[in-house]
Amino acid sequence: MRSPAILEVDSVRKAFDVRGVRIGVLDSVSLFASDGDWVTVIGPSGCGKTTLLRIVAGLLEPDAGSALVNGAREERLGATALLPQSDTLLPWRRAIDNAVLASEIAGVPRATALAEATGLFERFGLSGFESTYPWQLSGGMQQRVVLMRTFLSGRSILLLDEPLGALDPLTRATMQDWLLSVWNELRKTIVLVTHDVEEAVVLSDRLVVLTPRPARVLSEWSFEDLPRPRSRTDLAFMRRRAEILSVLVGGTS
Amino acid sequence: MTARRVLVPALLFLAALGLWEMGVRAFGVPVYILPPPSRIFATFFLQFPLLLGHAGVTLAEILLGLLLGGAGGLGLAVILFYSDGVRRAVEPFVIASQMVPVFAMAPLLIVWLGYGLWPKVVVSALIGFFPVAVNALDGLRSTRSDMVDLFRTMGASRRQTLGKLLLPAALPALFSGLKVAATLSVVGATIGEWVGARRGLGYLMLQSNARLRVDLVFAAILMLTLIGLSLFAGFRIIERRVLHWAAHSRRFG
Repeated sequence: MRSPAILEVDSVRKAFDVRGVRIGVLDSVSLFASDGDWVTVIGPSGCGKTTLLRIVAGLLEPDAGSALVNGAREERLGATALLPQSDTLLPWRRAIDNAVLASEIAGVPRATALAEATGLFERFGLSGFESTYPWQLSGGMQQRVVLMRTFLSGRSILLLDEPLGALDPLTRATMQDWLLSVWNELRKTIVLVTHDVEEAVVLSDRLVVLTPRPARVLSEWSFEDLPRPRSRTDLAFMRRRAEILSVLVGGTS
Repeated sequence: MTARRVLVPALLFLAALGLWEMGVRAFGVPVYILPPPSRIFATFFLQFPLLLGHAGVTLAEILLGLLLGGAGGLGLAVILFYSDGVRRAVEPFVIASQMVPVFAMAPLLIVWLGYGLWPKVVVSALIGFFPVAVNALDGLRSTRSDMVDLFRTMGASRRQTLGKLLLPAALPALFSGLKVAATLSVVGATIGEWVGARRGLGYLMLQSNARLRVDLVFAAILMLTLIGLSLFAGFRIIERRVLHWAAHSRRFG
């Protein structure tokens, strides 16, 4: 019995014209998330994961199929908080001013937004760095500011496009554990795009594996039988990781 | 390093002055044809109050011209950025306007605006506005599209995107334009004064030339050079203060 979906993507298809050649990116991709779910999308690089997120965010319209956010087909734009893959901190803003950008645009009074952000700086391991500029922060800290901006957006659905992709493996593992605890506290619905199987198994409730371009859903996994926090060296964990990896590499389910 | 950067051009300058001084003396060139540098510097200091009075007028023309040209150039850039229709309609005229020699416009402006400050301000603005418009438009256009998309997902209005993203991102380009405009507007104000004026360094040069006071002509040129250099340096200082972030982040636009 599924609880009602706040995000529902049904058989979405998308193709682009690249110099006169029609290139299919998404063939038929479906995805759903209930309130508070963590759903991860994984697939070979270039398989259209980013395109899928851009459709959910309302930046693109699907050629066929439907994408519903909060039960409505319209007004997807502005209904979710997107964390793009590229470096998106504004270099002329201090960390705290970057963190409140979305609330500022939404018209939240500055004092309220700043108070809320200041409270989170410690939780995000950034206390003392409120007034630093992005270039003065390490890669991991910059990414935490981006995550804080996304969490502070006031949206309940967060779309994270490889948020930890640029970090070194050690920082990455620490950030995964930390991200999980923040999610536990702040209870948001998360759609995470990654190409790291371990990250997917550590973090998510469910996993959707996509085929190479044009993407279809290759298989779906649930990790509800693995209680959190999940140990990366646990036997059940490692078996599941190996199964997913073999599906991903073999290309069949 | 820094000492060397100053020392080499300074030595070159002194060597040139020395050659000039010796040449003029050795060949017995009359003072009303080419005065030696020593004479020019003596005149510069002896006539300093006179030069300063005229410089004040010219500087006012230059600054007002820069303000007018800068604001006009930035305004035009924003309009052209947003409206492709306007851009297609206006662009040929904007470019053609740069083919009209400002010398040809100056007498007309005197007829229309009189002998006072304003025709010089307008000439100065006409010369300065083009580099500002071209650079600012380039800056606006080169803003990363993923950042514009991010602002869309935050529900930003056009005005918010302009004020919080496009204009700050275009600032480095805008400053490049302003620095070019600053040097050109010195030329503009001088030309305006040649055509018809009662005060100003250009006027002083014309008067002194007619009286064979070539030393005073050179002293006025020296004053103009100092004004131009100070303006350029002033913009560099403001730029370093305002754009401290630009030196540290890879080109954001």
